[in-house]
Amino acid sequence: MKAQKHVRDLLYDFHRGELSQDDRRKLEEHLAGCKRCAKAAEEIRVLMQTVPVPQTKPSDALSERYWDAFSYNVMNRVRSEENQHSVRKISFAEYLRSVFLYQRRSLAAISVGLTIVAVVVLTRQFGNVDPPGTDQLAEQQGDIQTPTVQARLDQYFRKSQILMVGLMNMKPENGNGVDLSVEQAVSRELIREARFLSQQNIDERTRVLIANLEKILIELANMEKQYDLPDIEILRAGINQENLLFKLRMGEGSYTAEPLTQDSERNLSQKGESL
Amino acid sequence: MPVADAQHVIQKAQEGSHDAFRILVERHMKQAYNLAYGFLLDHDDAEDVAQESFVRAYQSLGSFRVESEFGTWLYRIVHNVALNRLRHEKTKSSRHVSLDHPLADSASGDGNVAEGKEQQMHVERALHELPTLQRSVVILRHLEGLSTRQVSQILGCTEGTVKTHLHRGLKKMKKLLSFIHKDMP
Ligand SMILES: [Zn+2]
Repeated sequence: MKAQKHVRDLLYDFHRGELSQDDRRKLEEHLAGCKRCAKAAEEIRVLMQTVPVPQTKPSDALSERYWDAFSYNVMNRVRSEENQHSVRKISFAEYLRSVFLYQRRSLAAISVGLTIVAVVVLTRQFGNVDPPGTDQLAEQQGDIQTPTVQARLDQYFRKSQILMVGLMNMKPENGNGVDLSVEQAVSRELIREARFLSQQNIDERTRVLIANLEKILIELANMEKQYDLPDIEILRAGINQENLLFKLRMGEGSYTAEPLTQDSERNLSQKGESL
Repeated sequence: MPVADAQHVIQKAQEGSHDAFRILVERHMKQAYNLAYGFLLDHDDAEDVAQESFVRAYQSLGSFRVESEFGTWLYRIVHNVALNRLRHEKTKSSRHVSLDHPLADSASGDGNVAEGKEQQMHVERALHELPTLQRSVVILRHLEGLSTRQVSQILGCTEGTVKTHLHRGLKKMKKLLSFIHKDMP
């Protein structure tokens, strides 16, 4: 009986011609001598005749050109999903937050030439989003060691670069306006830092770049709450006009500040207070 | 295609290569479409479901284990996407035979073609009277010709279940078809 069940399991494959030659021969031998199995085999043959295996596939009716377009369209969908996905995964604002505002410890990992102590100072400074003009520099002069001007300069350019690249690549969400609140908060912090840096002993080229960047940052910080693309386009035009991204990229690490002396250090804290 | 070659392509695709993934699409698109068509009986729906399945496959490529068969894994996705589509488009699921498919345009004065088409339409109609699992088995095993083993992997059941449901499904279709034929003038 068990053998018979095993035989019956093969009947469909047998009629489809999918059995190996050996299995086929054994089955035929069995069917010749077993009426019950032969009857079952005949039943399945009739079933398969009633519901015939189609000789053509739906895909046969479509041209090769159709199939070329098909794979092309799939890849387009893959690409657009991938883009949407990555935008959804980390919006630029979230990225900025992660770099500037929240993940203070990871800042240490990516910033170059900063001591841990300096990071504490910096993130304190960037971690608080206050309206421009609020002075925090003075209170940081106390017991915590100030990072060198060079380190702050590097940091300032790096952050400006991230901000500008983000603005250039920003797309409106669902055709509506864009939310720039994080960008504005960051830009206010950068303006404050720029004011500090421009009063330091820095070379002329660096001073000019800081001034050019500041124009854009102020524009961004002062934008109305209802942002739309035209506003961003104006910012982008400004960034393009001054070749800011190029200058930031080319100048990475080459913008210099004179080493701090005792004098300039004192000078620094005084200027900080007078901001 | 050689197994090693297939694994290499899949690995490249998993690393994010669009070119590699496109090769996979080209290898499997016709069968993916045919499968979707078997469930949806509509060219536009089948096209969309097949394409969507590839997109989902791409997105979850990370969870695909190279030692398993890509086709089987993909058809499992097609099967799920197609069934979901059917569930969410109740109006369309009651449709018996679509005239949208290009095959419908090929009907000419040729009596054999017309007869074959009519027969096919009856089969499709009967097919969609079957319970879901039976219908899936009949489409995958009988109409698409996938192996019993592949079908069991796609549906997540044993090979024994595939055989049982195939037999039941075909028997029920035979009964339905005989009704349809009696109805015909
Ligand atoms: Zn027997």
